[in-house]
Order: sequence, then C-alpha cells, then structure tokens
Amino acid sequence: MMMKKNQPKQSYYVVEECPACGYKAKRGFRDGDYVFKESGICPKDNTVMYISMIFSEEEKRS
Amino acid sequence: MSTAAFSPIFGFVPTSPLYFVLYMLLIWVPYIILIIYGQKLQSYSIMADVARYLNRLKYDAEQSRENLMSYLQRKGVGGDGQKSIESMIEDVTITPVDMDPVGIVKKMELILRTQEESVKSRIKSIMKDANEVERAAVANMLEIASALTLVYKVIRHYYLLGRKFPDNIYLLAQLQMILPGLVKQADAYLGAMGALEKSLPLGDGIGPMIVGKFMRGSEKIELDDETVYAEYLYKGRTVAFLKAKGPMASVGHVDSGLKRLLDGPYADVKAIIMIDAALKMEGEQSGEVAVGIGAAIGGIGVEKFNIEEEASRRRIPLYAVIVKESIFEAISVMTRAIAESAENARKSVLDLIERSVPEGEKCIVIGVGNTMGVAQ
Repeated sequence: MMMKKNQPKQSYYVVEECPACGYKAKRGFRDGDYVFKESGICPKDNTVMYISMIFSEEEKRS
Repeated sequence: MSTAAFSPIFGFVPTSPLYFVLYMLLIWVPYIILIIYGQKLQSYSIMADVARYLNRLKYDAEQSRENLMSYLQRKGVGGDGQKSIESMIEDVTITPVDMDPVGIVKKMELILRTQEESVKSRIKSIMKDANEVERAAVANMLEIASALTLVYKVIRHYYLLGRKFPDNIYLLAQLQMILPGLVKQADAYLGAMGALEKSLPLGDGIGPMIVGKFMRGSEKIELDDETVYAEYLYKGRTVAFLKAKGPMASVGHVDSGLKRLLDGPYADVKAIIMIDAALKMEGEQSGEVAVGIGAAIGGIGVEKFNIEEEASRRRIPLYAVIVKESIFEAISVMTRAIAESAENARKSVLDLIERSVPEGEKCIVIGVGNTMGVAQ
C-alpha cells in the first residue's frame, strides 16, 4: 500500500552577491547552480557576481 | 437496598432488580474481559499501528530504489548497469569485533574506506561518461536506498516476531515508541534524494559553506581526491581553510587532510577550529551559532577519534563553532534560516582566530559536513 504524503511544496532559490559592492539579488534555482559559482553581472558596477547561498522555502498558499 | 451509592459515580439509579442485573452486566462483564484479554487487545492495537508505520517505511525504501533507477536511466545507464547498481543496495558491511575494543577505530576505518573505494570504483566502471558530480550523486543515493532498505527490513523483522508472539507486548511497544521518529527521519532521507539529483546544498553543508567563502579567490590545494585547502591571511595570522572538495556530494577526508597539514607546513599551529552543523535541542532556534571547545564532527566516530588523537598528541587546542539545526534540517535542502546564519558563524570564526592565535602564528579551520552544491 502506498502512503500519500501531504507535505508543503518547497521552492529553491539562490542569492547572487556582488563581491565588490555587496549588492544581492534573489532568483529561482536553475539546474547546474552551486554556491560560489560565478553567476550574473552586478547592475550597479558591472562586476561578475557569485552565488552566495542556495536555500529552500515553503511555497506560500494563495 | 439503597441505590444512592451508584448515583454520584454513574448518574444512574437502578429502579428494579432487572435494571440492577443489567447494570452489573454492563459494567462488570467488559471489565472482566479487559482484565483477562486486555494485554492481547492492546497488542493487536499496537500491531495495527506498527503495520501502518511499516507500510510507510516500505514506501520510502521502494521509492528510494525507484528514484535511483530513474536517475540512472536519465544519465544514460543501460539495463545491465542499472541491475548492477541495484544489486549494490543489498550489499552488507560487517563491523569489526568489539569484545576487545583496543584498536577498533583503525579496523573500522579500514572497513569504511574499503567499502567507499569499492562503491566508487564500481560506479565509475558503470558510469564511464558521467562527471564527478553525477557519480557522487549516485553513490550518495545508493547509500540512502541501502539505509532505507535496511531500516525497513529490521523493523519488519521485529514486527513479524511481535506477531508471532503477541503476548510479548513489550517488544511491540518499543517498536511503537521509536517508529514515529524513525519514519520522519526516513522521509527526510527520501527527500534528500531530490536534493542529490539537483545537487542542492543540505543543511549539513553549512560548515563547508562557511569555509568555502574564506577560500573563494585563493589558490586551492588538493590534499587527496576529495579534500582541499587554501591559505588565507587574517590580521597577521596564517590560516589554512580545509574542507571536502565541492560541489559534488562528499564529506571528504578531513582527518587525513588535517594530518597531512600537521605533518607538513602547519606543524606549529596554535589552534584547530572546526565548524559543523550540530543537533539543536527542542526549543532552540535553527541557525543559532555557538562557540565551544572540542572536535565538532559527527558520523561513526572514526574521523573524530583521529582528529582528537592528532590534536592531543601535539597538544593543539581544539575549538568548535557550531550551527544548530534539527536532524531533519541537516539531511534536507538548506533552509533560509541556516543559510543566513553563515555570516554570524563567519564572524565567530574570525573572533576565535583573533582570541586564540597570536599574531604571526598559524591555525587550521575545518569545515565539516557534506559539501554537495557548495564549491570553494
């Protein structure tokens, strides 16, 4: 017998951080992302940003 | 006969002898049945409860196997390769004899290393075209599938024993007591397989994440195929940051890595600082940072023994920075609260270096945990 589980759905996010000015941007996780991977350009000073954290959050029920 | 005595207890006053007899039957017959068969009835109730949890463990074991097989299929592993890896789920590891415990850690280390190398080489021979990250994911998924299968089999064994001897209510009651927590852990391990497929960091990866940030931008030196370190200068102190090599799923060999550093360029260190996720107590906040003394590292105890042995032999103080989290958070994808605690832990590490290492001296900082999804 298979059991059905009623767990809240998780979404995964990454935070990109600019090493020069400290600007941070949050976006959804994409396959191949990992912490400290270079990702994106800082809109403030055009420096290459890096992923400073990846985390899960429960999806809010609408 | 006075009936007043019944009134305050049951609110019923028999008005005739027939009612009185019916009343006595209604109260005393079930009471006598419960006295004679109570334990048996309770054991049937416990058995039904245990069976419900056992079904859940069976689901987790089967699902972990399915997840592994479907991941292998997506990575282009053919039928024979899949069968070969599936057969490894049932592989057994026999722990050394502990009647004479002297030297058991070295024996345990040999057995664990042999098992690890054997699994890695078999996976490598089957997944020739896969990269390191994918092979590490398969090795970890295989470990989870093996563990869940073993847990299911052990619990089924005791459940069937309990059914064979239903009068032994204590055996069943013990099972019933441990099963809710066990099932929750099994669910968390099954959930971790999803994280492995995508190489998402686990809560346990907070140690490597903190150390990885210090290593970012520095030259990384490999101590073995799974362990790296980088040198960092902080306020006149030379610090070696050591962690498992990421972003593939690995805990590295931090004990042997530490020994190599102590035998080589870091023989005269003034402190060893270990950063790890530690189990919080109920009521404590996830992501709380604490500083302490001692070797912060979990697992079977082999690495902890080796690190304590090296440190005590050379009289090097051991310090710990721990990030508190539950067992379920440790084996699930890192939560926001834990990820955000990295900054506080980082400050604690720098503070500890300033306090315990004089200027011009050296120390070693180890990030302990699974570095999946965390590079350096």
